[in-house]
Amino acid sequence: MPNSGNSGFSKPSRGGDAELRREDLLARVAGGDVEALASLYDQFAPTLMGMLVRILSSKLDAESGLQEVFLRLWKEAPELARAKGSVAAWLVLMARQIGLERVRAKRAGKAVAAPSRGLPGRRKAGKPADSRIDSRAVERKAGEHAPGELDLHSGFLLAAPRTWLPRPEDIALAEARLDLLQRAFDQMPKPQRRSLELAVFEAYNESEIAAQLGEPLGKVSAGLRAALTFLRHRQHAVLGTWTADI
Amino acid sequence: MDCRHLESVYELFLLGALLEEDSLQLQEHLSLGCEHCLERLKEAARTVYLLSLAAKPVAPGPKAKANLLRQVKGK
Repeated sequence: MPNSGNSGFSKPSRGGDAELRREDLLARVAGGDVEALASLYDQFAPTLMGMLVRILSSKLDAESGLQEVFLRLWKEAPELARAKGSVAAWLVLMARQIGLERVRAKRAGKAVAAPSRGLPGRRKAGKPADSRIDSRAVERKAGEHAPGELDLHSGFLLAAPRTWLPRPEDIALAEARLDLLQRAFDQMPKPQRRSLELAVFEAYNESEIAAQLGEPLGKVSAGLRAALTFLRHRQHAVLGTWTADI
Repeated sequence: MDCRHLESVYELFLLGALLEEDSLQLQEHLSLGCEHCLERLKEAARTVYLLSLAAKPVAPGPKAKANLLRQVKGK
């Protein structure tokens, strides 16, 4: 995805804790180990920060979003560890969600206050998440948003059980073959790639992308779906689900 | 909602790019526990993860980590 702010695909660093698997670190975070949280931060902060800077166009806002990601991880770790999904995937999806919420609030002209000094209490393991739980609720000024206005994805992403999270071994395999996947991304037709970039890094929805590109919604929607189908098939090839020459 | 019409929307859903009405319909369907769709969503999550790795990594400011850990330790 050659564009300013992109440098080709790069997997998160494992820092000085290469011997410690991410999921082991997650289990320790779930047990209240602050040093394990610091290790995960070292591994993922540059990747997540890069995403957030692209979405929010501000390093200051990105740092605030990054902090929220890890505060949510601290709170959600027991439930996440129980789900046995990939902590890497969860971190990236949560960072995307936080970036998306904030940039959309900005676009809507709604100010988002600085993060609260307070930290929401950790949820007890095994207790289902409240789909209305959203740290923005403590970040925003009173009355700024009614609960019904919360982003509709937050509830889904925070809800337990997270059976839809990829398994750690699936993420590890994908990362091991990242160079092959990069080639697949580069093979995508440029118009489709541009639409996808607007979705991934500018946090626009289909309708907004159509407006940005001056194209009919139907054409943009069809292009995005074709691009993602192409990527899915290429992933199947690269990850060994079936063989194909790419 | 018929699953056959959902094959190309999971990634857009996780990206937050799906139109709101479609997104709500998909969430409603997923809440029924459709195993096929949850499995496809898992695959879509991997794709979104990989797409997100295309952003150039950026180092947070030097105080960011200390601020985070101070907040966590304060609890």
